[in-house]
Amino acid sequence: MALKVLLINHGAALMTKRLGTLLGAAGIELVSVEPVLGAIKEAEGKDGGADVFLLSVGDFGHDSMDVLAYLKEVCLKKNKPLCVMGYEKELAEVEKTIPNELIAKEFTRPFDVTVISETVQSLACSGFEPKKREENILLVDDDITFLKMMQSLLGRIYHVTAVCSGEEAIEYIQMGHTAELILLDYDMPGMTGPQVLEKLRADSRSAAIPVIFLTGKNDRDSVMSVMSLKPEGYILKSTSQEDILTSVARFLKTASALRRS
Amino acid sequence: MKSEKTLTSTDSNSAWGCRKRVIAVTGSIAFSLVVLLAGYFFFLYKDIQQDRERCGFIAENEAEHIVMTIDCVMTRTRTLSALVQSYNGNTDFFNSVASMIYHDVQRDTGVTLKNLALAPDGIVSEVYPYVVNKSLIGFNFLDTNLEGNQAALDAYEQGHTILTNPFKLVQGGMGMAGRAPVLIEQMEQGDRQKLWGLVTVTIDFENLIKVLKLDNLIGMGMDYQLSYINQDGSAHVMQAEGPLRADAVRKRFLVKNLTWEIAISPHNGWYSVERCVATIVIICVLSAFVGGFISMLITLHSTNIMLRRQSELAAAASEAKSSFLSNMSHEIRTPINAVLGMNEMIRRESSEQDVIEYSENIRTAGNTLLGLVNDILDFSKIEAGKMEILPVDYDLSSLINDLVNMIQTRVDKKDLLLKLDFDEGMPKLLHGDEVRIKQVVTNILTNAVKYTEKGSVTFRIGYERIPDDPEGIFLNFSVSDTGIGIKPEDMAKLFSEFERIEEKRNRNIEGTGLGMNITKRLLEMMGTSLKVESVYGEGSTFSFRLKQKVVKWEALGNYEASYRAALSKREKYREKFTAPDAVVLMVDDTPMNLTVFKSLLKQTKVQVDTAESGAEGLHMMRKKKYDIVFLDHMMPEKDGIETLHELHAEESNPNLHTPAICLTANAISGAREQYLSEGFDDYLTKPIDADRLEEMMMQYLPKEKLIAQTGDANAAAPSVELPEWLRDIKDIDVDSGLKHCGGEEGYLDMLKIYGSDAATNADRIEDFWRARDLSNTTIKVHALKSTSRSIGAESLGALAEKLEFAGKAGDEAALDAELSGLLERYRALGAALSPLYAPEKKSDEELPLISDDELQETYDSIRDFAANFDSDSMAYALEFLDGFRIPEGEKERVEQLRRAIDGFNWSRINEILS
Repeated sequence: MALKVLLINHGAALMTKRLGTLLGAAGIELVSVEPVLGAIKEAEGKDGGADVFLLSVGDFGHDSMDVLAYLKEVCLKKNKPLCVMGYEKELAEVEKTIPNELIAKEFTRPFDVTVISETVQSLACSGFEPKKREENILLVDDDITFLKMMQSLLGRIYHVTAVCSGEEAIEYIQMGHTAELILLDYDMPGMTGPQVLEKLRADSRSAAIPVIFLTGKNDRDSVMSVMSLKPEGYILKSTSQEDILTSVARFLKTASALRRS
Repeated sequence: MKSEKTLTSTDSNSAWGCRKRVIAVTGSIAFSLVVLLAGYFFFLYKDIQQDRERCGFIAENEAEHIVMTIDCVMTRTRTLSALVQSYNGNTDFFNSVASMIYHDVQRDTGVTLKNLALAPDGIVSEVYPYVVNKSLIGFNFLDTNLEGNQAALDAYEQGHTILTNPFKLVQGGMGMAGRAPVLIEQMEQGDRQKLWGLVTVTIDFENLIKVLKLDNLIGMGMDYQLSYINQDGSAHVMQAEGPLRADAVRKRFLVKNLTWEIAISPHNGWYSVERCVATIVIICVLSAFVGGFISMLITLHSTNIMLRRQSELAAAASEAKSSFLSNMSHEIRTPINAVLGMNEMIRRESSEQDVIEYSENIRTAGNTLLGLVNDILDFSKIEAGKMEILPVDYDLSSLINDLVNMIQTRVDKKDLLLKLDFDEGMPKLLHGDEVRIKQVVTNILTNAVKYTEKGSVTFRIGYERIPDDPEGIFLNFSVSDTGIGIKPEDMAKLFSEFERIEEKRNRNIEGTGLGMNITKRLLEMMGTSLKVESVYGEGSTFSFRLKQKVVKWEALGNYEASYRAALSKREKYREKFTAPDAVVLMVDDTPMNLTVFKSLLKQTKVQVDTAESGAEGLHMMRKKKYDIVFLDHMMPEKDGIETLHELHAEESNPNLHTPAICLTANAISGAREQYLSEGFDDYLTKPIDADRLEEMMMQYLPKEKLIAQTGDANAAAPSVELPEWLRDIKDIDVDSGLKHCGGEEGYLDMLKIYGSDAATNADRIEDFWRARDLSNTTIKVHALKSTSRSIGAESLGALAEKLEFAGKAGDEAALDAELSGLLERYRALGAALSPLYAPEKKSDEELPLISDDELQETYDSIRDFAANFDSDSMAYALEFLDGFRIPEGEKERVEQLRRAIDGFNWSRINEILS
């Protein structure tokens, strides 16, 4: 029996489509419906109803009160999880009608579709083994060409987040994202690779993420200075693509083994 | 090995040993003192005892004398009694008899009697001599009132003679008396005896003493005392001479009823104090000597034991050192060999440029490591005193060969000139430790090259005959260089163990600093020393003069010519070969060596069987015929030589005539002849040189099994999917790019990305340079180098590297000159690759228009994606937008958006959308 998520939102076609694609990849059907009671009821009536309700709050106004009331009822009766996404103010409005305990998860702007998709997945699959999360690799390099090459190379197998500065990398972590591996360029303008590494290690969220330095220099002194910061490893940028893939795969395998132990 | 005992006894010799010695000496002296004193006192005591005994005898003698004397008197006196009894109370006989007795006593004993008297019923009636004693007549002995009559009364009562102790006589002087009661028969009143009266005699006591000659005792050095003992035990001295000692010998004796005592003691005491003290002093001195002697014996004994133990320990330690050194040597070299061997395989089997590069690095590092390890092991050996100079016969030309070959490569690498100067007339067959000479000269040569940046290194060997030694010559070795030189004040540091000269300046030159020290010590062990001349900044010359014995006077000849000829001959053998039908056997007790060996031969496709012991090898050789057999020399139980002998002894063995090659870790000259004489066809030294091994294979394998190979079998297969025109692009080496990207598909991807970025990237580099931002320019040029190389744009990458180094060195002029050229080529290449990435210009007429609202919502979502750095969603967003026609007013913004997304310019995206 296919899992179904009912998304109640208005507009945001891109977001809807994107979520749909992500959930679809996990084998979950996303049904989008306007915040109109009738439409919702109809959608709910089909195929045994939704397994997860996702409410994207806009500025509905007071006519959405009945929608909220209905959602409350359905979720309570059928014991289905309800997620709400929107601005803080909007969420506060919702909570006036729907008690906090009924809301499984709240998402605020800016939305991270990946996180939303995963949360919904886990809610939908509670009791089942959730689909293994794809490994996320954070790429940090100021050279756009290289960044593109790497993304194209690694993106075939892993989920890749690419940023072109150390500051953005730190921001990424501070937003609460995490990664299974960080490929960090050594020479960068602004915040250099070592500085980024230092900051990463200082933050408990990212301290345990394995970091591999990317460097173009393979003379002894440079390698020694790179390795002296104790990253998990380093990759020469001039290495062939196959070897880069192999190295990355190897690191990830070791890291996951370490995590499991 | 008695390694259980610790060495503490030796090193705490000072403190504990001293105490022990003091104790020993004191103890011995005390001991002998005690013994001697004890002996002395013992004998002294015995002496005294003897003296006392003697005194006792003397006293007894005297006592006897006294008793006898008195007895004699009393016996004579009894005559009177007897007569009275006979005459029944008639006393007529008295005078004559008394006179007779008086004179007899006088004559016999010398004693003078004072008187003899008869006293019937106790009253004196007769007395002799009458004149002096007449007052005695009528004296009543039985008068109880008179004190002196006690004796008489006693005699009367007791019925026998009673003597009195000496008393003062009425007539003057001292005397002692005897009262003897007489009993006569009574005729009338029955047969009862009646007490008639007394017979008394009085002895002149003083005279008695004189007669007793007690004064003789004085002559004997004795003091004496003669006393009588009263009833209550108290003593009354009758006669004494000299101060009697308290510890005098006393003898009591009975004189009839009297108890007398004579006491004698030596006048000068039982022992002389001075003698005693003197003797004790002598004893002390003696015991000091004796004690000293004893303690010396003790110390010697214990020292003996300790020394013996120490020598055992030292011998054990020395043994341990030797075996440790040789074990270590073996243990350390084995894995290094494995690493080098395996690396050799990687070097050969890999076709990837990067891997080969890495492998070369490993080789250099590995060889350096091996060199360092050897240095350390040698140094340890020398330190432990285990390094020996072992002279053998050797060929100087082969020594020179090895040295020149070794240094030639290094010299070439540094672009230096190697000048050789060997005396043509020099005898080449010499006797000496070739291995150590080679080690020393190698060190000097490598140092020369190490510290020389430009110019030349000159290697010279000359010789001199020795005037009074027809068999010997002096070899003069010298190595000159045009290197950095040595300051005079640093000369001393040259030979110190770990110090290196001008550490800061020379820190990039590798080395432990041990080499020079080892060199110097080896030369010393060979009887010579190292001379150094140097001009700081111009160069140095290291030289030494070594005496060697000549085995045969055969001249060296022109070295250069023969060297070049040999070199070209060797190069011909560089051909590769395979021999899939060949099968060889390798016997070695170390599995790692077997693996290395197999790997080295893998490419030749020769079948390799292995055995881990001589016995196993023999077993296998009996079953299969091999083309070559390799035997490790050093193996436990049965070594290589024994195995070979056993093989040759088995007539039916199929490998009886198989070529046998010995593998040995010890490179000793003269080895070849030794192994040949044992039955081997040749030998190989470990670590196995791959080239040598192949040469040997080619030499000893049956010719029909050898298949020579030429060229590289790995010809690149022509690419299938790559567009043909790619190969026309001058700046790209397609094959190299393919290798990097691991295949056609990946390569095309990369080319696409590289080309599409070229224009923008070049612009950016130009912007940085126009702003004279040297560091950012360098960073970007550095990146360009990597990316160019990865697509096979080698020369472009090289140019980028050159400019990267220039940038790092701050060489703005170079950048000014060549950066624009680089960028031009870059742009051109990008343009040339454009067919790969230029998008098809799709007209958007057919596409639905996106409403402003929808567009805004899309912008919202894009903003969210950007905030989360979500590239995937971003790409999705772009695709999404591609499905719509963009309203005119927004086209520009969307275009900017695309560019920003493309350039990972997350922050810009927000700007554009706000």
